[in-house]
Amino acid sequence: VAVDPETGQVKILELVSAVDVAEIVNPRAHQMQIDGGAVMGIGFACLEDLLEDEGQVLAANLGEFRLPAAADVPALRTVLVAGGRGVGPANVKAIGELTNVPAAAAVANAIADAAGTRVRQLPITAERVYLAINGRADDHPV
Amino acid sequence: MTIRFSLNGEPREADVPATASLLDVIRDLGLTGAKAGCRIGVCGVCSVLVDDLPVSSCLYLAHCADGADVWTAEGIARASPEVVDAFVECEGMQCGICTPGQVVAAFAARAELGPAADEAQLREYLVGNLCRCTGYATIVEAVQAAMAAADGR
Repeated sequence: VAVDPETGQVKILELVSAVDVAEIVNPRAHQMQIDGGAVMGIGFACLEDLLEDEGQVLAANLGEFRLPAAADVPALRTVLVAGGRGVGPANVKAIGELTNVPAAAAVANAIADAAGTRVRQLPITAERVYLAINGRADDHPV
Repeated sequence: MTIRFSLNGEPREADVPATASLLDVIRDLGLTGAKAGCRIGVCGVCSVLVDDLPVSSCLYLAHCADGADVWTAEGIARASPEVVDAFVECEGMQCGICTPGQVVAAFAARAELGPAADEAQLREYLVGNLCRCTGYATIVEAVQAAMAAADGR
């Protein structure tokens, strides 16, 4: 990632997914699960802020709860670690949205490395990075 | 009020309330490709062409389309099958709900940006059409393939 120290703006430059795989039945659909999960993880990491007030979700629509769009997606690279043992029939393993799980943590680590300070709340918005860089607490924690 | 417009190349007439959206009118006429996703013009599932420009039909008042030339994903699929073929070949979809909007956007991108558009320009053009499944890689591929294919309409 690249972080602008002046504004806290984060740009994810590249996201590498390493996946432990067994027999791959449909390589294209397999890759789509990897990419789609990673992009959903990018949203979780940096965009999707599910604000609520006493259990009432404040983001009423997709304009207030922003999902990653095509232009928000960085270069995606995949490393398939082959030779794993499948737990399903025909030596297959599940892949569905697997990359969604670690993506936000990986992005958070990369931002901590780049900014020299750690944001401990998702999504990691420019405002939160700016406050962390300047040693100030978030006055309005969710 | 009565509006007359061209829908996928055929003359249509509809009696609509002044507040009706173009989306509701199109769906009432039996074309269900365009869908009501967010209804605030963000998700792009309701994209149609009005006089060659892509619009969110959920926000477009039907009476504004009086006299217009309207194309939906169904019409584009019939008139320019190579656009849909590109999506099938590149697997530019997963669950499929955003696909009619992506097809309309692909067709519009071809007309508006031209075949020389690079990937960054295409991704910028497609920000109005959200996809939760694919991560966009195969959709962008499909749009590139559709743009490379010969103009059919």
